Amino acid sequence: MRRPACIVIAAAVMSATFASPASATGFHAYSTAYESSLGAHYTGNALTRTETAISIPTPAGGSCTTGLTLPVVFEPTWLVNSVAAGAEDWIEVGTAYTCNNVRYHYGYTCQNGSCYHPPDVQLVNGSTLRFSLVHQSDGNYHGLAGSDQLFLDWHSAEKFTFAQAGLESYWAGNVRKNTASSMAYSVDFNAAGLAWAGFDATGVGSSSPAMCGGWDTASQWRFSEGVAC
Amino acid sequence: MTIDRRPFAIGLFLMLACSGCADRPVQRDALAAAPAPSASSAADSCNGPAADYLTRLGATEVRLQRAVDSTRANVSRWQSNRFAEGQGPRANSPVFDALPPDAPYAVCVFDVSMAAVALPVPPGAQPPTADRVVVLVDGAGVASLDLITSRAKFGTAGPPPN
Repeated sequence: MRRPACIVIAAAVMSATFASPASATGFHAYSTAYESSLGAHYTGNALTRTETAISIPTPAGGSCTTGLTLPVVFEPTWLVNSVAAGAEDWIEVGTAYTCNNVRYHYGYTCQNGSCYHPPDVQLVNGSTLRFSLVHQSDGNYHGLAGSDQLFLDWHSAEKFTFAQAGLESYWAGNVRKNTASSMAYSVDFNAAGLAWAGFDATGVGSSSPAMCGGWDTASQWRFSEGVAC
Repeated sequence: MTIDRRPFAIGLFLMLACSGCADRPVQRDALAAAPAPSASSAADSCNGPAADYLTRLGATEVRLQRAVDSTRANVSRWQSNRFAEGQGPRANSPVFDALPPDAPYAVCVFDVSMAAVALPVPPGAQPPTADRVVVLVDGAGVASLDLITSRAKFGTAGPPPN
């Protein structure tokens, strides 16, 4: 099928396409925890999390597919380097949830204002997995879901200013409680993982619906949206 | 008297060959970079599934700058080396890299305007300017996002020809 190369979409069409509460309000909120006390030394971050489905309705005219389309809720594992205000580098892996129970593992890495997005890996059944960002002797950061699903390699020797985990939502609804447990970080390219211990910082949005978050222990963060956690 | 019909035949051939060209203002060098037997396939994939994908992603304006017929192996090499060290992610997907090396892929470089995007970004971080993106389209016509960047940081060259 041939189409014009330049496609300009009228605002009315956009409104019809994204007529979900999430996109209509531009909803974007977080419930996250930080491990940051060591400064720019972080080279690994890992956690254990269950991939329980989130009931997200299909927006009018929308589709439920992988690939960062609205509506979507992410449960990320991050390493972030605040190079300068507005110039952050980061790498992340996690689970993305969209409508009609479509769930997938995604990865993402950004450096100097450019971001690479590997192909998403669609899930059939959710399970409890270890999500890891590790730096190995081949000079690459590797993003893994479980022990065998390696889906992001990034050749970099960059160290990060903090490790982070939790919930990032582009959907204004009720997101069930979940936990990121056994959170561990590594520093200076050492393979050994150290348990999060500092209760360093949190970021829980005061949006509507409200985000919820809290420490169960120093290495376990619970989170939800619109419901208690 | 015999009539030489060759000019008419040539003109008719050119008319048929160019039907639809006017609505696809793809750069000429993009088409020139593709192998002759599939010269139009990359442009069709880019203007079809890739442009549709970007619309779903939230792009309000999509302008194709480059369309290249390529292969999985060629794209993997390009992804590893398209930025100088430290200037952008030199990254790959082991899932993608495990596909057959000669699997066909269209590489589509677009200039875009993005409005309602759902890009993952840590709290407080600045998302990329995102006025230039690269989308891959596989042989089955399935589009996937590859690179989000800006015109200031990334050119339109695409991968080298196979």
